[in-house]
Amino acid sequence: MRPRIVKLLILRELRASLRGRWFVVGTASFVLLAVAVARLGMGDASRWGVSTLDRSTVALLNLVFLYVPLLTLPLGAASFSGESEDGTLGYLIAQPVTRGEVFAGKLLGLITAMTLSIAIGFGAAAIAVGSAGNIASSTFAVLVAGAWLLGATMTAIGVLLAMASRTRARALAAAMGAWLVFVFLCDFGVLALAASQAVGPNALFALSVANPIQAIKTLVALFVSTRLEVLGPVGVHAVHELGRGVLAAALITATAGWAVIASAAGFALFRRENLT
Amino acid sequence: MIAVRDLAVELGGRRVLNGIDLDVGGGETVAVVGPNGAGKTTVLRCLLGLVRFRGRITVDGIDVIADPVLAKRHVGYMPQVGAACEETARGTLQLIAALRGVAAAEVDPLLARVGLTAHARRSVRGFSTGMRQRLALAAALLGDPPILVLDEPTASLDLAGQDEVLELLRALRAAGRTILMSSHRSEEVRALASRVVVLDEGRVVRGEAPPAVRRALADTGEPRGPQRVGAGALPAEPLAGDAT
Repeated sequence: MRPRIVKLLILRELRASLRGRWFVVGTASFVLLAVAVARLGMGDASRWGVSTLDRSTVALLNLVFLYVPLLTLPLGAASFSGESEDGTLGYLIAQPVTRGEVFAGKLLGLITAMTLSIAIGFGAAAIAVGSAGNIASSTFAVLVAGAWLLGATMTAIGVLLAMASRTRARALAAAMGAWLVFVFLCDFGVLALAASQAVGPNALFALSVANPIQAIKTLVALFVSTRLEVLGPVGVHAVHELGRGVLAAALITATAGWAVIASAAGFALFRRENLT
Repeated sequence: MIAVRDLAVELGGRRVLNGIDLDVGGGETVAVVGPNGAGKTTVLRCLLGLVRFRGRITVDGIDVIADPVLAKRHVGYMPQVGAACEETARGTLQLIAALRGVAAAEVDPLLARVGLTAHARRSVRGFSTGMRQRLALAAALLGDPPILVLDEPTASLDLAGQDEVLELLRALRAAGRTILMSSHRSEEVRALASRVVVLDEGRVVRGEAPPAVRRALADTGEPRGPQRVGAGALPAEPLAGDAT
């Protein structure tokens, strides 16, 4: 794989993303929501004796879990399938480049666009929260890093869905289905298992953090709060079993594992795909 | 320049190409013709690494599977409808030039050659199909590759656009460029091809061309009957299947 070619394709994908409606609408709405949520999180905080930081962080955290996957799953799904349908992907591969270079360039370009969108959204939120004072940059940095890891993972999963679907419409439908599964259905499943007491706390925790959204939620909570109860009873059990350091490493590995496996599977499909 | 041996392709469980043998010599313009679904475009796509296949394809002696990057350096590709890789015409050519390892200085002369200098900064999305095809042809010529692969080069153009693109291609053919093209338009074949290969149901037709091809060619005054297809004043040569 030639870094020069991959860099050219990353920049091309970034330019294409910046021109696209997804980036403009997605980033603008993310900015509005992030600022609104951050400001609302600060509202009346002192009256209740609750730290402004905690409230803002938790509010942003919930926004991240809902909105970042909603932005990034379709981003990955639409880019590959759209360019496959309109012939651009085939045209690029017809040039003296390898499929690996095209795949890497497109995926990394999408992740770069996603990074920019998150940076702008959180940047605006940071200014909004910071202008009211009382913000811990380390907490904010953990939140941003968590959002980035989640965004990168979801982008890779979106790309995998695009490879598995034959058309852009199917890929987008699959992306929305995946969003519903990750954001809502996985939690319901874990809750149902917990209620049924069919599995022990270790298995329940493993199942829970197998969902990258839950893994990042737990990871950020682990970093930003000293109070274990925010992790829930199973999370508290995991901290007692593994310790904070090992648990954090396990959560990062689980999420990054999703990104790596989704990328590898996406590339395996891309390498075999007939561009007709 | 191009050698295709025992080419077989299966798409969606259907055998699209079945044991195709094809040779294109230096300076030749070979048109692959046949009815819709015959497998014309698939042959070109195999050569460019877009479709998985069994068999062997070499370009200038380079196996397209063993060394696809080197093989594709020898080939300029013009798709049926030009793709917009970048926002502007110049941006598109600059990207393709960079991917092909060609100096960016080649871009502006090629834009001028295909008559797009005045539109160099315009959005490709606003281009007519003819302008897109001319842009695709300019991109195919970046780095001056010895072989051009053209997929239905005038199929989606209006009459004026067809004339524009055909004129450019005639000049390239006259300059001795090796061209492999797919086509189902007799005007195009007549204007450019020095030899015709007829495909039907994924096989090279040996002997009489299928009725659909005969009808299409006859409608515009091509020779009828068993296809010894020549183009205008070009010498009529046998079908590939007959020649080999």
